[in-house]
Amino acid sequence: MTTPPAIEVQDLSLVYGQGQTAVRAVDAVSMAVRRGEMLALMGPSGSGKTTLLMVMGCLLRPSAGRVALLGRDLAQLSPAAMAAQRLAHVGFVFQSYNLFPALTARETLRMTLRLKGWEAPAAEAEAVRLLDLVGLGDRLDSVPAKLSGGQKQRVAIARAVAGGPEVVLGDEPTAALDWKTGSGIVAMLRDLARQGDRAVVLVTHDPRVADLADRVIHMADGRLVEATP
Amino acid sequence: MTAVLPPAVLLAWRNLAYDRSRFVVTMVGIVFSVVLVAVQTGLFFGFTATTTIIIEHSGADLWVALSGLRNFEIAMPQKERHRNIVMGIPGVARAEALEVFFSAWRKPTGGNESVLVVGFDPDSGLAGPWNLVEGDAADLRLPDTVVVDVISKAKLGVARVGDQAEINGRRARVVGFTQGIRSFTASPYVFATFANAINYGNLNDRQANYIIARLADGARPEDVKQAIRERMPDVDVLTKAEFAEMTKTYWMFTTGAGTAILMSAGLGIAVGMVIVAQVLYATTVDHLTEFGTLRAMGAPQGFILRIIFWQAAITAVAGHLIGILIAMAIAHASQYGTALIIVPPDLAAALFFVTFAMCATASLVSIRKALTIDPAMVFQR
Repeated sequence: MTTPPAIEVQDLSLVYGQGQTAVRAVDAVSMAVRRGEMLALMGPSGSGKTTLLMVMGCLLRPSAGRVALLGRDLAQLSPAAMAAQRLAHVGFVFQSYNLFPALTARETLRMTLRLKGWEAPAAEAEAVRLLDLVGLGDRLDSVPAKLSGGQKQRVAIARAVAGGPEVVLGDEPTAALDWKTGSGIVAMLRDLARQGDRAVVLVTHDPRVADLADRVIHMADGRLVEATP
Repeated sequence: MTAVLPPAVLLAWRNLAYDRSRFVVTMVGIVFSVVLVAVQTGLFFGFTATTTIIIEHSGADLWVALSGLRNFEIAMPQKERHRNIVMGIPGVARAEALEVFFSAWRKPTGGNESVLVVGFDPDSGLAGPWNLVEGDAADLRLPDTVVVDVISKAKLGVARVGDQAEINGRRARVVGFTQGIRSFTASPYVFATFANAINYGNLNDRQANYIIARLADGARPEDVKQAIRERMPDVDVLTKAEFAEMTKTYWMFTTGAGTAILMSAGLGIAVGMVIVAQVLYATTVDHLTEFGTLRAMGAPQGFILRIIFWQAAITAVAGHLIGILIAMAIAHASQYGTALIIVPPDLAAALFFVTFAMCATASLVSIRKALTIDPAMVFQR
């Protein structure tokens, strides 16, 4: 029996708006992402890569075509069921971190795990383990305002992998970081993909991501135009 | 400690505490509202208690007055021989005349004040003064003597036992001071014996405003009332509770005084609700990205609602505690003032639910906003 791809997209289209104002953001895209691989989605602004990421992350419903997460077709799921899929199987990393200003790193992780159904003592231990894993064992009780950009993104990565989701999606995760810090973040995401047997998809303009990714897909005008290798 | 808090409670508390100046503004709004409502309601209770203070402390079981009675302060004179008729009714242990009338008090330092003279029978003490803190009530048997309340000292221009003033042009020597016997009207109570009161009012001693009666053990008030009415069809006969209720209703609702106080209390709730709604809404808008992030992560809508609910609940509990403590302090201080404010534990408890409902209702605006969050928003910034 073969394991289904973490994400599978077939002939997927997504149209914003209706009639003359309709915009076809994604147009007949087919692709798959395996567990253990890091994929970079590249392309100019407006090429549809973030929209495609949102569809893969159960945040948008496609207008046509099929998208499956871990073999499960998402097209027929209710909004609540899509939220449940996200909570159980998808982690997100955002360009501007999207941390909670009032929570410390430890509390952010703990809250995420509790949200995923972990009991308090186990959530506490796992929060500490994950923050150690991303090199923030000494900043457990720091709020975002007391962390550098790289440290914030590492907290966000720890949050994204908390609870062991099979898929991690990142939207320009290095855009706000300097070269060295950004490279470290990408390397960390690649390691988390390989060691955790999870699929990582990063939307990016950053060539460092392309260098470290297992595969790169280029988009333009909502279509896949090139894939490497 | 935060490790054991449910995540929604933790985030709610941290959201509130993170922006301390906003939290203080929220607290001030809620505390203001709680104090306003508690004090207004306490005033209502205080006024209500004050309107019936003589009735409640009189020791009389039945009150007999000419038909048309509407409150304690104003009663038409009836024949004093009614006392004998009441006394002859089976089940009546004691009956006596009581005079209650407004009069002019001339202060020793000059100037006049209106007072409400209560002329009682010193042999029984029914409807007489209580809680004497200075002087001796027995001295009231002397001619031209009165007892007043310490609260009225300044108003009546008297400071100590032995001070003299005039009632209706007749000498009135203060032989004692009570504490806590306030009048609902602007006219302080002045206690005198029935005989002295008759003199102060230049009244006919064969008339009296009230005949008050104490029932014999085992006598049924309804039976006695019925018997009195049969003997005297032109009088109202009321139990203590009925007369107290009638007087309360008259002053609180017929005159509109109570309605005005209750409306102020309602206004306090409305003001508090608007303040809380505004602050909670602003807090929600400030944290919209975080709520969007939570939704993107897959947090169910119920989780977001719980955060907003807990924000409202935390502000309600904290605001109520602080507000009710301030209101109780004000109520305590009012014991020495002219307007009595009563904030009993029952009122404090009831106001907690009012505050909670106020905050929960105020959070509805925020909840509506939070429910419309599109989780995709976090990718579109």
